[in-house]
Amino acid sequence: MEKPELVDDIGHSFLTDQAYMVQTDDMDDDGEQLTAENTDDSNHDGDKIGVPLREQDRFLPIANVAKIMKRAIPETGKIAKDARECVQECVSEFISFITSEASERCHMEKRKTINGEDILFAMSTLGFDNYVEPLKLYLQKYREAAKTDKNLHSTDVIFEDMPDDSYNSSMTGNILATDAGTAETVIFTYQQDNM
Amino acid sequence: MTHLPQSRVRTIMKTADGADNIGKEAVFLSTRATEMFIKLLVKEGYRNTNCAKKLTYNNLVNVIHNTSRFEFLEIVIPKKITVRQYKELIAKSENPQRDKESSSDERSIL
Repeated sequence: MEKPELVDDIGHSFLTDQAYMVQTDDMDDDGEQLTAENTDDSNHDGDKIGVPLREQDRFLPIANVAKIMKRAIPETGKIAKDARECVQECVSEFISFITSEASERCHMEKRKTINGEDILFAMSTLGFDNYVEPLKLYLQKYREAAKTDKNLHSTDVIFEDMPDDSYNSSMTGNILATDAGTAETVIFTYQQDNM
Repeated sequence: MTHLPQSRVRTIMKTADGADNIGKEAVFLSTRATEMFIKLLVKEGYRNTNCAKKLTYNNLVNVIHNTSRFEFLEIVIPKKITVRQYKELIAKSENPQRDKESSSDERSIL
């Protein structure tokens, strides 16, 4: 039963620093197992540490990435294939970079679910503070859309995203509100805090 | 609502340490941020092409290795060098005095 540990270890080194270049000699066997996941039934499926099982799942679709890239440059400009792939890799790195930071904050505050605030906080910590304002606007629109879209459903969903501590950080008056009313109250005060 | 699939962004987010539960809004914001990030990287890279009008890997590498907020990408996106350059670097680092004059970029070691 030492196998799960081994796999976990490799998973980590894969995902953090050396993500896409790993060709380690001494771990050959397990490395292959990881990439050829579909063919074996070993124990890294549905794993808690969230090993991305298939290679293609670790990246965003190249077509979507390319489309956004294209829009960022003048119409006459061109993009080499290696540049596209490079950005595709950068993007995955960016996402996990931000998420790690957000998750750390989450853990420090003893919460389980990473919320929007955590992401915004991570952005400003990691040098992307100029993203925070536009993202807040997007978030506001997103919430409005979610609210009008499916009214019954969305309150649940939003509530799920709001962990308990958003009360503490942003609310003063309503902390004592009864359980029944909370979903709505939380949403509003949270927004105020953002704006 | 977004140009990138949020489900995939979520999958990638889950590869981060300790990120087991991720709220919907967090996924949404990350997706948006990612779009902005792509634009930023490409714009900077394109500026690096100096009117060549074709963005290449090397342009992106230059940007990544010269911008502090892109520092986290340096490991994943290494500079490309040829085997010959590599051998020269090794030779020089083993024996810095000997072939100082043979190559143009001795500054990189000194």
